[in-house]
Amino acid sequence: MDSKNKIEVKDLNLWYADKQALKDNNLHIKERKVTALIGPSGCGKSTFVRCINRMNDLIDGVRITGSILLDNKNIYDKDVDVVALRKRVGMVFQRPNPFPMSIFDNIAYGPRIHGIKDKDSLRKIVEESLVGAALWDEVSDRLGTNALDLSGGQQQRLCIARSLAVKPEVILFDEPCSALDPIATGKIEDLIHELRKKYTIVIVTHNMQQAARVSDFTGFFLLGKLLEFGKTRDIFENPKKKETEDYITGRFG
Amino acid sequence: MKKLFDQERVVGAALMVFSITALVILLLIMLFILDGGLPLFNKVSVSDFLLGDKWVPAKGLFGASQFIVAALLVTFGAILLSVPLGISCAVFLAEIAPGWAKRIVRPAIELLAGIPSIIYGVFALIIIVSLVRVTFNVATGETILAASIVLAIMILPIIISISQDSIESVPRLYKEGSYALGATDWQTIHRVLVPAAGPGIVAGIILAMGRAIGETMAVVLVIGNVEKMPAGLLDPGETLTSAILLEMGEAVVKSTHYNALFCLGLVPFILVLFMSVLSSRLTTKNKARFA
Repeated sequence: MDSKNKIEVKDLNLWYADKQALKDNNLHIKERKVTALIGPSGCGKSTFVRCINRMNDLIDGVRITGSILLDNKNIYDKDVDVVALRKRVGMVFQRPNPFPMSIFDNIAYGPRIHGIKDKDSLRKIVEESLVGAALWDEVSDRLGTNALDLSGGQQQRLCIARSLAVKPEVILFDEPCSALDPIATGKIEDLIHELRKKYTIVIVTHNMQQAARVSDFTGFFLLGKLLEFGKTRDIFENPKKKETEDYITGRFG
Repeated sequence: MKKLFDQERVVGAALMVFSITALVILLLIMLFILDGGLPLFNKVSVSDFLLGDKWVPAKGLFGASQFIVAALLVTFGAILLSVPLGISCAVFLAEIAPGWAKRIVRPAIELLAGIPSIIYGVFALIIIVSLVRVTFNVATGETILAASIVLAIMILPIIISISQDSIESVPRLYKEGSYALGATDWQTIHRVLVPAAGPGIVAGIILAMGRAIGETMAVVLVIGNVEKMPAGLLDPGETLTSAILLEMGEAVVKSTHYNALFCLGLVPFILVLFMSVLSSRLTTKNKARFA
C-alpha cells in the first residue's frame, strides 16, 4: 500500500520582487520516501525546497502564494511558529557549513538552542546523531577538535548529524553532493538510503544518476514549474513529456 | 631590442620607492625617539623611570609610573565603556537595522570619526566634566573618568565599523545553518555570528586601544593634569602624552628633562606598535579562516 502524504503543496507561487520564480506548483511528498527534484540550473528546484522550511523568509522581497501542508497543517498560516517548523523540517545545504566550533558543539547546537542543558543527554544525542550520519567511527576520539578541520565529505555528514540532532521528521537536501568528490558522494547516498527508513527526504540534485540511485519519486522542474512527477523508475524509463525526456537523455540542461 | 625607458619597470620601481618611503619614515621616527630618549638612562635607571612615582625635573627625579597608570586607566575605562555599546551598535547595524536606518547611522558614525580631537576636548570640558562633577558629587569633574568617557566616544566609530564589517563578512551559510535548525534571530546572533566574527571584533578593539592610549588633546583638557598617582577613576591624573604636551615647551633641548619626555613618548609608541601587529595578525587569521 502507498504510504501517506507527508507534505502536500498546493498552487505554490513565489516571486523575488517582480520576478516570478515558481509557478502554480502542486506536489505530494510521501512519508518515509525519498523524493528527488531535478532540472536545469535556475529552474526553481532549490527555491522550491527552501519553501518547505520557510528559508525564503530570510530573503527580502520574497512573496509567496498557495499553501504547503505538513501533516495537513498549512505551514504558511499566520499562527505557525517558524522555529518549531524548522525543528521538524531540517535542511542540509549545497556547501557543507559546519559552524566554526568543535564537532561536539556543532551537533549539540540544535539541542542546546531548544533548551537541553544536561550534559549526559547532550552527549547521548551527539553520539546517536553521529552514528545516524555514519560519522561516529571516524570522529568519536576527537569530538573536541574544530569541525572545520574535517574533510569536505565528513563536514557534510557532520551537517547531516547536526540536523538529526534536533529530531526532525523531514530532511531537505539542497544539492548536498555538489561540492564533494565521488567517494564522499557515495557515502552520502548510502546514508540517504539508510535515513529514508526513519525520515521523509526531499533531495534537490542536478545529478540525474544520483536521483535515479537514491529516490523513490522524482519531479522534473523547468522554468519554475513542476513539469512532470512520478515514480523514479517511470520518470527515467518512460517519461511522458518531451522536455523531461530531452533533459534526462542529456539533450539539454 | 632593449628600450632606454622600459615603462613597466620605471613605474614599478617608482611605486616601490614610494612604498618603501613609508617604512623608512617609520624607522626614522623610531630612531629619532630612541635617540632623544635613551640618554636618560645614563642618569636614571630604567626601573626608577618605570616604577618611580616622583616626577620633579628640577631635582632630577623622573619617575613616570603615575603617568603610565593614568594612561592605562583612561584607556581601559574607555574600552570598558565603548565595547558593549560599540558591539551592540554593530550587531544592530549588521543584522537588525532596516536599510534606511543603516544608510543614516553608518555615515553618521563615520562622521564621528572625522571630528578633530580638540573639538571633543572642548565638548567634554563643558558637558562631561560638569556631568561627572554633579553625578558623583566630587570637587572637580576633571578626572580620569571624564577622560575615559570622551575617549570612549572617540573610539566608538572604530569599534562599530570594524565589528560591523566582521559580522557582515561571516558567511551567509553559517546564518542559514543556524536558522535551519530552528534558531531564533537572537540565538543566531549571539551563538554563531558574534563568535564567528570574534577575531575581527577583537582586532578592532585592539586598534581602538591603540588610538585611545595615544590620544592627547581631548584628554589633556579634561583629566586635571595632576602629577600624582591616581587612586581611582574619580581622581585627576596626567597621562604620558599630556605630560609631553605640557612640558615639552619648557624643557631645554638635550637636557635630561628633554630625554625623559622622549621616554614618556616611547612607552605608548611601543605599546601601540605591539597592538597594531597583534591586531593585523588577528585580521589576517580571520580572513584565512573564511577563505
